[in-house]
Amino acid sequence: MLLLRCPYCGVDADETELAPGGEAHLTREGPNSSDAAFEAYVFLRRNPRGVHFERWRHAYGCGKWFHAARDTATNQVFGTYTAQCSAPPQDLLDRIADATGGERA
Amino acid sequence: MSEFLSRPYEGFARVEQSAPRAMVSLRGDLGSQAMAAAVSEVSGCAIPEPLRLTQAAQDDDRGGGQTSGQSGAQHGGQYGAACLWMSPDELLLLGPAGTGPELAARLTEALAGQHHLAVDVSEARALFRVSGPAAREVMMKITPADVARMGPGDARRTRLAQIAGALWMEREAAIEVACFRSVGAYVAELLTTAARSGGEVGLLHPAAT
Amino acid sequence: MSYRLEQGGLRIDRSRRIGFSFDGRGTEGFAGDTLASALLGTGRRVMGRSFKYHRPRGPVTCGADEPNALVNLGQGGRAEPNQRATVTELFEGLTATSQNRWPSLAFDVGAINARLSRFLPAGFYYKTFLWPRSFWKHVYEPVIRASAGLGRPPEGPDADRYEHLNVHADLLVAGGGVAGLQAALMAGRAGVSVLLVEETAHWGGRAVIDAATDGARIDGQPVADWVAAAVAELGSMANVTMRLRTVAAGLYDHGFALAWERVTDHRPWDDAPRHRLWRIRARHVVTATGALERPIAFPGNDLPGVMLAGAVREYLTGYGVAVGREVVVVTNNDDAYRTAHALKAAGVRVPAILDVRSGVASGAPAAAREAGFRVLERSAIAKVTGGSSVEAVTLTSGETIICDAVAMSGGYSPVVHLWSHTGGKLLWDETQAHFRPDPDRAPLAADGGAAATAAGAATGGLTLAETLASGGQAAQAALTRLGHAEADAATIATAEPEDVLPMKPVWMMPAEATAAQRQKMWLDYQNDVKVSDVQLAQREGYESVEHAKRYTTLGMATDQGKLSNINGLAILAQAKGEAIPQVGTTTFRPPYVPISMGSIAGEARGGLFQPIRRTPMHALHDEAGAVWEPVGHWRRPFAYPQKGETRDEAVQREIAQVRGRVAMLDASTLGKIVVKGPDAGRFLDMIYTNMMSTLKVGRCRYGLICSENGFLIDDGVVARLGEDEFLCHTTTGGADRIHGHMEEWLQTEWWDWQVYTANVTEQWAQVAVAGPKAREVLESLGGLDLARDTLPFMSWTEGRLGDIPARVFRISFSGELSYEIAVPASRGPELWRALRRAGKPHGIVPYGTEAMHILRAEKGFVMIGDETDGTVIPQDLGLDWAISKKKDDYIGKRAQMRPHMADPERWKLVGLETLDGSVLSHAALALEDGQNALGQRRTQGRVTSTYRSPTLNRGIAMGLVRHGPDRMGEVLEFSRVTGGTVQVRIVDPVLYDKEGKRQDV
Repeated sequence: MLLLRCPYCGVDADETELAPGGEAHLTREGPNSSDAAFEAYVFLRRNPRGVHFERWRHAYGCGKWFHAARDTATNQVFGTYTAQCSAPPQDLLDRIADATGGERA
Repeated sequence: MSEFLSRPYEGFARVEQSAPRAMVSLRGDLGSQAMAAAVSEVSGCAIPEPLRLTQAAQDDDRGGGQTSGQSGAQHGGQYGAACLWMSPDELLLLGPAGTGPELAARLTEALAGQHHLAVDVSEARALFRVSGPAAREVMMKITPADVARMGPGDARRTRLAQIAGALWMEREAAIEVACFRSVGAYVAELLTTAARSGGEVGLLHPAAT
Repeated sequence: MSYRLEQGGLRIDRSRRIGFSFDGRGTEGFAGDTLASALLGTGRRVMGRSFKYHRPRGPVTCGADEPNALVNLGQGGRAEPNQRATVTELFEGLTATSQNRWPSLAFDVGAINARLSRFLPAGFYYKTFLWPRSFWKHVYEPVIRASAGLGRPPEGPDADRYEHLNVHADLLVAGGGVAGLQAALMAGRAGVSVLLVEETAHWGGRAVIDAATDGARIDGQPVADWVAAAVAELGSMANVTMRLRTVAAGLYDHGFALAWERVTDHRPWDDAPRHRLWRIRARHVVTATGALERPIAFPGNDLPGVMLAGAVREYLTGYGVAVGREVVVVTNNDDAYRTAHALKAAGVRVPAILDVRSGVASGAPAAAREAGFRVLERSAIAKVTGGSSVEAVTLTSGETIICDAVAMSGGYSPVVHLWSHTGGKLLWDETQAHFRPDPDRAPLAADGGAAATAAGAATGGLTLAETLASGGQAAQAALTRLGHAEADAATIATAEPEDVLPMKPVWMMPAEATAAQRQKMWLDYQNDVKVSDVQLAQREGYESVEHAKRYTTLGMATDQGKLSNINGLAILAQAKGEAIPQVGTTTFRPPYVPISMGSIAGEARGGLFQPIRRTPMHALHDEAGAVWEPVGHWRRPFAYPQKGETRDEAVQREIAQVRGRVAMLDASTLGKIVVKGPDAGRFLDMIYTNMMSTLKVGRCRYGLICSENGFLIDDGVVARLGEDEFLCHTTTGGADRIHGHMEEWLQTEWWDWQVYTANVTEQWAQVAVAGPKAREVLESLGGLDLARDTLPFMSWTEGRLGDIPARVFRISFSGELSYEIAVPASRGPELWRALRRAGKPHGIVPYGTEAMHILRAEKGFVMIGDETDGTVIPQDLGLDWAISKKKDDYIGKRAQMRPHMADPERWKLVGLETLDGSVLSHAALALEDGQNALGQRRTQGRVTSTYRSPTLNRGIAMGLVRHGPDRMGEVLEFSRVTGGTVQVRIVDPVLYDKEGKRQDV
């Protein structure tokens, strides 16, 4: 039962307050995209054993979407950050690299 | 507002349906001067910090964040204007019953030219009050929020058993509860069940203030 | 026979006699007794029968690990099966009955199974499935059902109440033995918030019992005094919460733990929740969960009177109960010697102590000899004899010793359950032959550090001195994890180190047992799993520990292997010729002990089972005799049957009223979302398939919402409230979902767009007034000009209707002249009554959702959830007119260009008319010649909505059919649920008022 800190309101939110939203940092493919690019955008997902960047909504709380970097095998959470970005913040990536011995998430 | 609880319930804490209050949902840039000015002008409240609320100063000195209003809490009255932090771009303004449309209109006017949304939601919600020294224990039975650490001035949106709701404290030993009106009957039963005598947990949880 | 001693019993109060009944017979115990100690005190050892062979059984343990002494407790609304007598505290009026016996505990016909045991080997259930099905149905199932099973499920609703409690703490200490007390003391003194829970009704655990025999002291004080002082000090700390009768049942991710409190099991007359489930968020957990003693497998080890040595001691010291008059002790370790001393001190004869070890010239064996005990080293039991109770033991030496009880000890296994629940790893300890927590591989917390620290006997350190030390060290580790200064080691209490001889792992005796002997050596008592069964499983190829467990049912009883796990593993390892750590353990899963279903449900029963959403007019519908339909969590009136009317008749009448005159519908449940901002129009152009930005203020437009996958997910009417403000209506079930959908796109994709949304669904009560007389009814209320030209079709206005502030939308879902009136929610009932009064001259009636459905179906309007099912795109439904060709983009546009979505072979919406006028079955299929790849009949379409139309006086339907719109007039064959087929003609879906004149008058 996860406990994730909502970066908007600062609450350590119980998993029962949250709604999951799958993989983070997908780039939307619009009407001019190729079939392959669109398929990848809508259907193809990473399923790593290790650090996963994922979306959560503080559904029962402030209602905001945020991102979490969570190890899918250990449930270690390296950090949460706001959803208004297209890539994880560098300091988070550095922290993950330090913790995992440079292994790229 | 509909009647969900015809009279106060006396368990190991008191549960009552609160007197109606105007509620306006206000979205916008909470850090802007225009917002601070508009909220102050319309409600007399400052912009609250995250997970906090502010109260307007009142003539009878019961409001303004004072915690001396035990008698007020006991009688369910004397609650003044308040402004609750709901999310980074959303506030909930509380005012005198019946003034919701007017409050929303005044906010809209005061914020003209600034991107915002002020909408009357007074009718959309049911309000309850859980009071008494063990009020927090009642809430601990139905919400994962750390209620034990809440004190006057704190506000929190969270889960209440199976529905979404908001909790806040305008004074010590009284927790205000808001939910959608469609589930008012559910929440009334939920709170009275949780407050039923014999269910005292006996935890010592002075609010960490 | 067991009996109550004249004196002694730390836990009982001999001045308070407690009356209770067992199998209908009244008897007495003392306050502080458990049901098991009280029954033993009255001389009763047989308390139940085993699951498979119905063998008579008495308690083996004195705690939660008890496999045998299971009883039915209570009656009626308080009946509960499979309750362990060993953890059931006695109270006045307790009623218990034995289980799994017929007709009586003493004489049980099911015991015939034991005679048949060679036909009921390991894997019996599996094997029966391999035999012909008819055997299972006619032979095995009836036989097994008749003879298997333990208690009876209670009948009727549970009379008690239950609740949850959400608690946050810096430190959870699971276990209130001396290690847990030590850890809690140090953490409490450091000022962190501590929750200390103890499974039993007593603080101090085993140490208090042991000290009564060995006189051990802590910091120079008697153990009981130290415990009392520790409890008093903890009780005085405001930052410490302590709970007895509360077991930490499970440890989950991120410091979440469940603890189960038995609040009133011991005082059921109290008006209080029976059980409370603590949902704990702890920043760190100390698992001071103790250790469980293991039995030894020898022939006849399941006879009543054969018990764990520690349990024998606990009954004696704790309850003043001797389990027998002559007790043989058999052990592979020093601890059981305490039992011998305790028995002797209480005047119980101990004819011999059988120690499997050799060279026991020092330590406990030497001391025992000195004290006058007959200690036989390198000694083992060849068999225990007796009928329904121990009568004698025969040693491997051939000697027979007359006795009426056996105290056995196969060593101790740390309770590693909590530690293991979220992945804490174990080490195999060769010296003590047990698995213990590996401190270097603790379960992990959110930050990647240790989530838990083990303490006390749960670490494998079993002596009092080790227990205290590890309790203190656990507190130090926890405080470091919590960011507090490490507590001073000098504050850790100490005890004298003990000189303990190493135990010797012996898993069965005699070591060279014959096949016949192995069939009498029980491992899992409750499920009757014997050494021979595990060996058979291994021979038959079930070598993995998880397979062997399921094949034999070892460890699958209500004690979940607490007693049998390690012994079973050892036997399996021996059979495989492997070391125990290579075989590994089965998975430890929560809960540690069975917890009640009621506590899991908490308050969610009766009216709180599920939140029901009610509109402001709910009570008025009830008064009007509405029958209800669940729509999501909402309750909506399905129809309003009048006296003597069936539901269907009511629906037909309501429809006729809408078509002929006027009727009204509670539409409050429709979602209402305000969307405002400079980019609101642009945003809605992305949300809806059609163009919303061009909508004029004061006008309404029907719109479709698709997922990014292209599928239609919602529809509704959008009203433009102002230059930068829209009101979006959604379906009843769609309000929260579509509001979430909008917020998701705004927050995660177009966060630079200036748009705010608010879900104002419940701010308004909304009533649809539909029918040719609708305008007349509304005009009679006064206040608003609703003339055709002032308020044309698909426009809205606001003002006061009568004296109620209102928004009036001229929109129609019925095809008739129709208005939807929104008023502040609290004024809904007033509006409802006003409309009923005003409509009286026209015979106005309320109509329900079923009439609404049929009215829209007659008009060919689609319904989300009927015509759509998550695989349907707007183009399938002929809604191309609502898809903008001018827009570059909208959510779902790209997906609708994918080859499969643009495939002309997709099934498309048509109207369906049975040739005989009958009503089609729901989801009926249009048949086609031939079979598909699975050998099923090929199909070419299906029904999505089907009703009887009173307007057209025949069945009407809509459906999706391949090339449907190109096949108008063609007749297809549709399946019938009742069998056979029906001829159906493809027609236009709009069956009534094709020109749409009636709504635009």
